[in-house]
Amino acid sequence: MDQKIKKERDSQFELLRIVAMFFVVSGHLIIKGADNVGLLTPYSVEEDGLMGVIIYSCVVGGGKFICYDNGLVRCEKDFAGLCETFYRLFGFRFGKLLLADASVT
Amino acid sequence: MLLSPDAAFSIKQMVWSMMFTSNWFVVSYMMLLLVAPIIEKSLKGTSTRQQGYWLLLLTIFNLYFGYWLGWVNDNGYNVVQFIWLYYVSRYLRVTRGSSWNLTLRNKGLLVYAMGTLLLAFFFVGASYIGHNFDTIRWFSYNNPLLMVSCIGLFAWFSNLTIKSKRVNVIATSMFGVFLLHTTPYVIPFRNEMTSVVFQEYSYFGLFVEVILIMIVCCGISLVLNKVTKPVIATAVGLIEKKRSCLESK
Repeated sequence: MDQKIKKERDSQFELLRIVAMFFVVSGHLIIKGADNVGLLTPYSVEEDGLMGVIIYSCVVGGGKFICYDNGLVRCEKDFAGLCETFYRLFGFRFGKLLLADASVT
Repeated sequence: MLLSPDAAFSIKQMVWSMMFTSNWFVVSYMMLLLVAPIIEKSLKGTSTRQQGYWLLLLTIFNLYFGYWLGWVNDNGYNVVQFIWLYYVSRYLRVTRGSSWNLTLRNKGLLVYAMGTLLLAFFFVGASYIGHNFDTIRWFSYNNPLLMVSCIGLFAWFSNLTIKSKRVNVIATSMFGVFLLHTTPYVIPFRNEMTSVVFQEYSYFGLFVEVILIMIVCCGISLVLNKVTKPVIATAVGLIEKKRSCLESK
């Protein structure tokens, strides 16, 4: 059964991964960019309102889903998963280096 | 670097750019991948009941000694929480046939909605009476409300039956989206831009910005995947083959 689960990559978990990343990006923009959840400056209901807190409450758990997904589906492909993660990590870091401004780096 | 007029290639910068230790999520995720075979081995041959009992122990470990007392895993942004999540999803998998699991999958969205609303309600309520919660602490990954709401949403998603090649392809770029939008080069610019967008266009502007970031990073990510995938596929294949040979001996 494990073999079957590993091979069939059901789209609902892939969709969850996309939703999770949407949550992660949204969370980062709200908490650090809009700054209305009290991370950089103290939270005040009058000044910051409710919407930011409600949205952030909805999206804050985004990163968790990646781990759920890992435990549910990829449980026996850990080594390959680790290699894949390293590859993506280094691939993207190198890609970013190529795109980055030399004066910034 | 290549796009800059002052471009100058530096081996040191190249090596430095590949460092990932400043990103807690990536480091914790890799640590999870390192311990996952040990978890799997420990679970082999155990009954569902025993796994449930272990999960209960880990939950007490994380909630009482972690969230409540703060002695270990005080905010959930670490591998300890990720290991707990791993056990949760494994338990959801092995108990898939049970009635409580089915109920959770059916009502998962409601659980998620209730959890997030309570999370927001207590945060705002505390501020209203003049006792602001610490944001990082309240919205930590091991807040029980957040733990429950995320399990709800995950269970609800696991109940969907979707088959889409397009979704599968786009999902492969999500790790890239994460890395690209959290790079140290981008973060200050991203925060500044978001601040301006929020002041000008409020939440609608933020929503549009999120979509744009997702599209741009996804595009770059898919291209990079396409270019480098054959290399890693060969390397992983060789390693897996070697491992299979060793295990069969």
